[in-house]
Amino acid sequence: MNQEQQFGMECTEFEALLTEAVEGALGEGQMQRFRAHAATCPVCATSLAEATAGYQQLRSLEQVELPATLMHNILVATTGVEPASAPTEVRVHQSWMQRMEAWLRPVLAPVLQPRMAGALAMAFFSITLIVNLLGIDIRHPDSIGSGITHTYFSTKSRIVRYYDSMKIVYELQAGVRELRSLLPEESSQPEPQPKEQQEKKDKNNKDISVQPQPEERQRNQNYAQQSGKAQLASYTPSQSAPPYFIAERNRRRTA
Amino acid sequence: MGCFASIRVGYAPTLQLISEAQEGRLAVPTQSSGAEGRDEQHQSAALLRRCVAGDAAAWAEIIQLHSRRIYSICYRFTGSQDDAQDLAQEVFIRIYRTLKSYDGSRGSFTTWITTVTRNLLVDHYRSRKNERLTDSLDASPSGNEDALTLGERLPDVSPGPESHMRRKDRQKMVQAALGRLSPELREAVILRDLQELDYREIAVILKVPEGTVKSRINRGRTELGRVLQRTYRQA
Repeated sequence: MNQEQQFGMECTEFEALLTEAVEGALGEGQMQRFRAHAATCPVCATSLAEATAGYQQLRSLEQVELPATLMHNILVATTGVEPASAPTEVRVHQSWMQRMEAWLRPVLAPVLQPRMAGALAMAFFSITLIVNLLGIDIRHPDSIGSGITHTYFSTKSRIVRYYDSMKIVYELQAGVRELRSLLPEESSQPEPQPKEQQEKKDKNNKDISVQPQPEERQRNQNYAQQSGKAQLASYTPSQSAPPYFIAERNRRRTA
Repeated sequence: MGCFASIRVGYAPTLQLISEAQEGRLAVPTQSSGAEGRDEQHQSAALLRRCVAGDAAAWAEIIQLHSRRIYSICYRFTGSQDDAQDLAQEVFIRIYRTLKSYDGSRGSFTTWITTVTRNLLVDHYRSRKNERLTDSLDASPSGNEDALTLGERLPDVSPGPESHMRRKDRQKMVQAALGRLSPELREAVILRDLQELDYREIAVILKVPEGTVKSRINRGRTELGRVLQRTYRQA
């Protein structure tokens, strides 16, 4: 009884002190009275328990994550100016490659598009091929002139050698033709002989024996064909004249 | 925030809670009216003078100092990141427009910017009154007494060894329970237990007496604890 009178607390006072009590901000004396009342009053004890639980749950909430764009959006919305990047970032020393890239980017912007990639690739390969053919070594830029000159003269010498070789070949062929022309030409005119013989026979002998004459003609024609075929089959550029030389020779003789 | 022991309310004696509070296991909100608060006030005053003079860097610094706190208040009150972003942006727009009219004698800059935030939140709440969920956690959706109530359908989170997912679930649950409080109780517990403002400052912001502030804080904490206790018990 005496203790209650000394430390007695009404529920209204208990409720008034509840906020600080949950936070642990009450003094020692007040905490004793507060504790004593909670031990005797179930309603207040329940209030204390629930308030403490709610307070703990609130304090357990983690710090809210700030959106990355919030500050930027606020700056734009208030000042209307896009926040500039830190001056130190702009003034970082750039290498000559970076400076050149920054200078070329606006110039090459119309070209550096996906649809131009195929054309650029073809151009690159064409240039590479030409450079390779010209014998240019891009690793040594100072030797480009000498490289081109060397390539020119080497190509020229190859062409000259080729035509010189061809000239020798043609001269040899001409010589062979001359030699052949000196040889008896038995198979040079197979077709006219059977015909001439046949005409003579027709003139001299009116009794035409159909069977031997056509056979002979046919045989001669066959021989002519065979000789022509043999001639054609045995033709090689190194041994006899090419067909156009035979045709030329025949034309000259007939002329 | 300190380290709290896992207390199962309803099982542990009430006196144990009081003793733990006395031992300091329950964190005491820091008072912003101390030396640290005065330093912050001086810093803000200097920045404001530079802002009024046209220093853009000073304004950016003010945003950097207060944006997290303002966004946090908006997010905890609305429960929506998008709404919180829009509202925080609007707060700074209003502050920027009325910088010259700010009078340091009427209160600190923190109080001023928090007041603007609170007013915007109330306006936002009223404008979305019809979209607000008004069902209590004890009401069943279909009216059937045997149907599961909203409180029973909260995610099952039981105390114990907390994995990352359980902690996240608990965070979401507490945020959801906070959203169920009435706006008056919600703003009171946010400003006191999350923003750690003192009662006098909260009274200026809410334009109510300090006694009313404490009463609202008590009721907010009690209601929140009751809802979450019921959820844990049912789990």
